Amino acid sequence: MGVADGDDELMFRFQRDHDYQAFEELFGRHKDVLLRFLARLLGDIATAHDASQQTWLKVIEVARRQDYLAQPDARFRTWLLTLARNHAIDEYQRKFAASRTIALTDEIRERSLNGPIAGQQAPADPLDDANREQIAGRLAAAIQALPLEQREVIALWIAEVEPAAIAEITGAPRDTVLSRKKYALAKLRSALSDLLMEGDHVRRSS
Amino acid sequence: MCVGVPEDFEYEVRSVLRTEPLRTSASHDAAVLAKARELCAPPRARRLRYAVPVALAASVALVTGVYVRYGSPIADDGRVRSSEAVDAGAIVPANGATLATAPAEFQWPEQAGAESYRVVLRNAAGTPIWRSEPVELNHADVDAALHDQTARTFYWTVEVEGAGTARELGPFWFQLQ
Repeated sequence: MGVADGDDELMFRFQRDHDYQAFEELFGRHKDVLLRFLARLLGDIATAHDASQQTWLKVIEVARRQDYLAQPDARFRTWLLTLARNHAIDEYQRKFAASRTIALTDEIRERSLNGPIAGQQAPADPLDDANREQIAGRLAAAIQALPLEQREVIALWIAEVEPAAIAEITGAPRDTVLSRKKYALAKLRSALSDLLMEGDHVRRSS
Repeated sequence: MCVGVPEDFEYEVRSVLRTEPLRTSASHDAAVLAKARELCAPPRARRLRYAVPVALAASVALVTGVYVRYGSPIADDGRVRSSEAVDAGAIVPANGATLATAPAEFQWPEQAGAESYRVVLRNAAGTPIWRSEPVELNHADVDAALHDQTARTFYWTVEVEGAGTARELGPFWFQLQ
């Protein structure tokens, strides 16, 4: 099985031929991205793991029922994220409806949002590790404080999902998606304003 | 501590958060992959349950010289195999028909005990491209999606649901000019 196999091709092999290797490849490609998206959306690692597992079981069930359909512009990842998002909204967000925001646990702060992945080369950038860690922690907390509609847009945007696909996943018009992203980024910028001011000060002084 | 946030805020937000270490747990992966394996490899008990009937059927086929082939609905010559067990006159569009335009609806013989039917339309590669909503009568309107397809050859099956019974009619096929 080549690296070049498309996601849809793998999904169809799994559905049509019950090709286990095709599913394994597909699962390996998307499982971590999906978990990170759900962790940002739900704000809790354990809940995100559960939602992720339920989403993948739904994927398998869809394949068992031969229900995965070929659509001219459909992409597996968009479909997967839609499935996950709808599941998360349906099953978990009701619990938190009263408060609209979910506290970021220490576990997320420590385990998920600080520093580069072990063994993975971090991209070169002007931030040192200490700065990066501090900014990541502040950003994660700020994301959790966003309204759900903005948080899901930001979570998808961080996963490099295009605005048109975000619109498809969330069921919101593309312009609304762009607007939510704009307001969310403004709030994040505001939440990090003290860091920005310090940074400006550093740059002006140097 | 001096903290600097680069001017390209959007880029940096994504850059900082994209490198997070969160990965799925081993138990998560094991549970999902076990379920996938279950679909791909039926349990041993199920295989054994079917072993005797399959062996008998194979013997009968050998004795009578009938070669029965299962599997892909696409024959070696590229045409779609279709069922001959259903009254051909009651199939709309007619099995094997060449049509100028996409059909407006599908029809099939009424099945005893059926409570609902569902049409599954596939392209020539065997890929499902449309499923109808469950219908109680033995006909279903064609979804507009079919009219957008670039494929020329289609086959379709009818899932029959009833009390204690579930079976499938077809596949039947047609092609567009």
